Amino acid sequence: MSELIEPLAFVFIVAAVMLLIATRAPVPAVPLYILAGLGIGAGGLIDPGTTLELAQLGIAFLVFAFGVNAEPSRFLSVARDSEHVAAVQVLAVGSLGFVAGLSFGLDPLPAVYFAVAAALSSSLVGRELAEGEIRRNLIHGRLTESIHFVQDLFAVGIILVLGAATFSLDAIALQLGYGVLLFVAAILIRIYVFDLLVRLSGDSDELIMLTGIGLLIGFLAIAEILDLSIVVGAFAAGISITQEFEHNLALLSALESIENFFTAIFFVTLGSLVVAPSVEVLSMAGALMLGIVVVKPLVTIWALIYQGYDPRTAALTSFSLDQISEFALVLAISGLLAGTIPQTLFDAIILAAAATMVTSSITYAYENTFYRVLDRIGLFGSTRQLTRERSSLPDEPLDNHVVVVGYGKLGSSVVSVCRELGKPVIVVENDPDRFELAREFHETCVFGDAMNDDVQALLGIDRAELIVSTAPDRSLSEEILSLSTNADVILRADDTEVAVELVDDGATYVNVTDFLASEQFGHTLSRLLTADSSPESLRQENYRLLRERVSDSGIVGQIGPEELGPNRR
Amino acid sequence: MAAGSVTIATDFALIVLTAVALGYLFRLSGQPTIVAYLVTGIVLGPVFLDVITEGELVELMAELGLGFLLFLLGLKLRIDDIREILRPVINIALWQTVLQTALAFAVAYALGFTLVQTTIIALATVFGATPIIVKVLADKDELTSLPGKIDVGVLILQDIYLVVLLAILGADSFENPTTIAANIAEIFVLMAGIGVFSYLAARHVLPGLFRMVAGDREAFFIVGIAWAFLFIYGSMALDLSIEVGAFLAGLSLAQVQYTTELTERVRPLTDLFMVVFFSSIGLRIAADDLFEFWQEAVIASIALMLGNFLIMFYLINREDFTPETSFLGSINMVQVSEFSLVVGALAVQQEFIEEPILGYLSLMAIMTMSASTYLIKYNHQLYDLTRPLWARFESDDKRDVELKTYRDHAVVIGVDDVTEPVLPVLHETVGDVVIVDRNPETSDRFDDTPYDVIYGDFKHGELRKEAGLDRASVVLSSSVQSEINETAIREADDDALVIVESDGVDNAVDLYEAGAHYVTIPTVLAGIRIREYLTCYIRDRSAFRTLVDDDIGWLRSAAAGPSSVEPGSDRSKPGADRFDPDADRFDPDADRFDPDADRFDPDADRFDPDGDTDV
Repeated sequence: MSELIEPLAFVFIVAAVMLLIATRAPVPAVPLYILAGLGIGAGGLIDPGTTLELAQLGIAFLVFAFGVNAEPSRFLSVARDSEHVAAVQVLAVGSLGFVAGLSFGLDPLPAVYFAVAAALSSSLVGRELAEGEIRRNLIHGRLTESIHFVQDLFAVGIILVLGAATFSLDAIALQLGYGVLLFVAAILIRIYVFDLLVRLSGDSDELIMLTGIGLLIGFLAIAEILDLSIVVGAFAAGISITQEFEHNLALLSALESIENFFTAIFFVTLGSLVVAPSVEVLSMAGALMLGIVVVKPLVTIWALIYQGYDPRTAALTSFSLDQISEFALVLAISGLLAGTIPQTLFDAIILAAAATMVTSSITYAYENTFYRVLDRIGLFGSTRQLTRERSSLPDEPLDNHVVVVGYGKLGSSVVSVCRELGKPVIVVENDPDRFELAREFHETCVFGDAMNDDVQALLGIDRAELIVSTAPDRSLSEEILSLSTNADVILRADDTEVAVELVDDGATYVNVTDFLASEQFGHTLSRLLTADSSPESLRQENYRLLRERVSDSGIVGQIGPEELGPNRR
Repeated sequence: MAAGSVTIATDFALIVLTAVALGYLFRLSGQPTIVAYLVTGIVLGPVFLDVITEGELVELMAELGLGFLLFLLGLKLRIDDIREILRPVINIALWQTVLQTALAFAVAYALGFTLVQTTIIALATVFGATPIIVKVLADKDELTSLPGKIDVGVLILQDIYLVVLLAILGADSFENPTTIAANIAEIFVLMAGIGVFSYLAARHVLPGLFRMVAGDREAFFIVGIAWAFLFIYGSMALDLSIEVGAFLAGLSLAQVQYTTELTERVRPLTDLFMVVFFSSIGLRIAADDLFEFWQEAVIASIALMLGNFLIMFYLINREDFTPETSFLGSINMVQVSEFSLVVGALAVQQEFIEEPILGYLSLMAIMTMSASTYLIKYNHQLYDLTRPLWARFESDDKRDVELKTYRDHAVVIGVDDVTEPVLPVLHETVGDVVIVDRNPETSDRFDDTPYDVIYGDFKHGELRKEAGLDRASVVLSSSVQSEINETAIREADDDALVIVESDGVDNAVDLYEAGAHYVTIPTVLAGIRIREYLTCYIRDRSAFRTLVDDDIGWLRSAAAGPSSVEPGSDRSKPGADRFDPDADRFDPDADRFDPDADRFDPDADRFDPDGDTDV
């Protein structure tokens, strides 16, 4: 009987209990795992380190999964400013962290670990929290996702450098050289070999899954031989796998299960390695938390506003970035095992990680409240002037006009209807790209967030006849309903339940995309089901209709094909 | 490297890499992967290279491999699946176990093994190889055919027998008949205890537990794994084998409605562990041991394959199925299972037999599994070839049971506000409607409706099989994920009508290219409506109010959901009335609903995409 079964049973049972307790609260899984680990460690249920070897696989799978999902298309679609913002934020917070680390009496190298913990954010947690915003393609959701992505790339680079066994420049150069070689090998496999393997596997799910694992293990082995971090090996293995093949669903879902299994062990093990915290540990963890919960959001907000985003977008984005990265945890455990960092620093990082991951879900849940507090204390005072300058307003204040919130496809469509019928209309948009588009085609528009008082004043909300909001954002909808105006209000919601509540709260009408579409769809479906023609001729007919519409509109190439859906924001 | 102080175990790396390489080799020659894993162990072990010393990690994974294999087996054990043919299946399984044990005993005894060895061999070689039969039949889409169901039913009953056998073999002492009897009694009491616990859990605890976490993929999976570990730990604490615990954990979960999804989530992990498990069996065999009884193994393999076939044929035929069903059902079951190695390995551990017997069992498993893969693959051809032989078993009294399988039905991938209102139309026009949805509330919500719901992610191949995707005549997807839609298009029958959803025109074009027959773009459809509403608002305010009030009424009834109406009635679907062809709003002549797809007319002013940019 393996001695590991019992510890493993504890790991999963305690983790599951934590997850079950927390189902009502929107807390991400990672801090719960760490807490489970703390409990297991403190309760002496397992000896520290027994599950370390399995935890190592957890690290490998964590990074591997990131590599597999880092498709080239994502590098291209990272929003234009994210890399600047991410870089500014990492450098600024990192430098502050480094100084703080030194002031705790750490040596320069451990201080770097401290700084990395402060600077990098967790994409696992951040993206889980902001999932809804990302799905609805709201601007701060998009920013959150791309900043996390850039930061994760930073993280892998930092681990590569810090992984050098000695810190002479030669060693780092050698490490980097090997690292580059490994990535070149990965890219060659991706281009020339992987496809062949997929074809040879003859769509056997099991074999494709095993091929993925085999590549991972192979790269890990090479990394080990070259004395590189397993993180580098795992990332290279991830790069060697392309998602561009027919049966990728099987591979991705298989890897997800295995990753979930081993990362749970990893995070629980981390927690179990923490020893009883001393004053020193607590003060270091406190400093880290302060830096992450207060300093980092401020730096992010500043960087985003500087890049031309409105205050609310900047604030909401920063509330998804205020936690410690899982890669900093990988780095911490590597440092601890190699003896590069003291146990106290390790403990501080793990505790601060668990704590900030929980506080992050709190700041996320109350993001609008926090934003209003920041606004009230005058943090964004200087942006008022900016808003006014960027907006283009009519000479005469508008009266009995239509206010359109958001200049996406639906917004622009609404604007064009108003103009055709000679109705005065004003647009408000907070995405810099879309705002430029609005200004180009439409003279009256305001840059900023519709929830901002100054913006509302510029829009002349109190004199408006109709407000049309095109964003399925609940807090925005509620804010609009609470405005003191006699205007009719047409809102947008994701589902019918929310829509009905909004109607009850006073909305004139609520646009639920799926609901509105379903009627026409049901109709088309009945027609298709009872049609005499063959499926293939139906296909060609429907396809022809769509193509004609696209070519007639001449829209492709003007604002890009992905914008063609009418009301994406 | 900093983390270099803990390294990925060499033995684990070697096993995985060799298994992948051999996996491809065996796959190309049409062999089951299990044989490749066994050979992996034999190649790396003392028989050939002798480069492996089993470390902690490999030992753990091998053990978990067996545990999870039984967990998965338990998870799949749904009596409902074979209810229609339960009586004949029980008859067949009981007699098959008795007759095949006798045959295996006779063969082994005749070959000169000792009494103890013969007993273990006979006990070990009764089982059919579930993973191979299920896998090859599923690939051929014959799992739900009558012979497939009979085989699966027999295998399920064998599995229960196996768990009992493992528990008994794993017992502490076998010194004299009294202690054996006491041990067996104790095992039965303990197993009954765990069984009662798992039954109560399945009735009262698990449904609530899993409903709590079913919305969160990760938590759902971890809680499932923890359930298995709870039983594994429990049976360890009670001194039972962990397999018993794992099996009962799976069995109790199988009675909860979320099982299919969990099975698919656990399977990849099990596959990985099984690689290590089967390799480790190969690793344990020394060269001499493997080939010590090779002649006996060859003779026994041939004798057992023939004998097992005849026994199964006789038993199925006796239940008055047609000769074809009897033939197909028997030819699938002729191999020696991987469980013979499980039983063998346990017997070696308990010192009932020596390593060479395990080698003998391994050799038999490898040979019979390899051969039977081809037999199952070409079962219909073999039947046609040998048809005259079976003609004498034909009779008018014999007929096959009609099984309910989905055919020419509608598969709906995900229910949302777009697809839900059209379900009644689908049901009326097409017939059976099978919904695949990963939202746990969906299956609750559609409990009392004529629609079947499979809870789980469409990404899993097994789930698509269960929904009979490739036999459906209409496939309707409400997902906007390209991978899902492309999979649906690819796997649907050529004659099926495939309707998918897209979030943009660009993507819609791709989907038409891929072969979709209709792509709905809700954002476009809704955008058109909003433009209409707005036009109305500006031109004729009172008409707008009427329009909107009407619409809000429908919104309310949609939001209230099925609970607001009598379940089971035609109106149990929100918005069902909206599609009642007789309803006014659906009157083809009504202005607002011109059915001639004019609203889609590219030339219509209402949808003038230029309007967006030329302002």
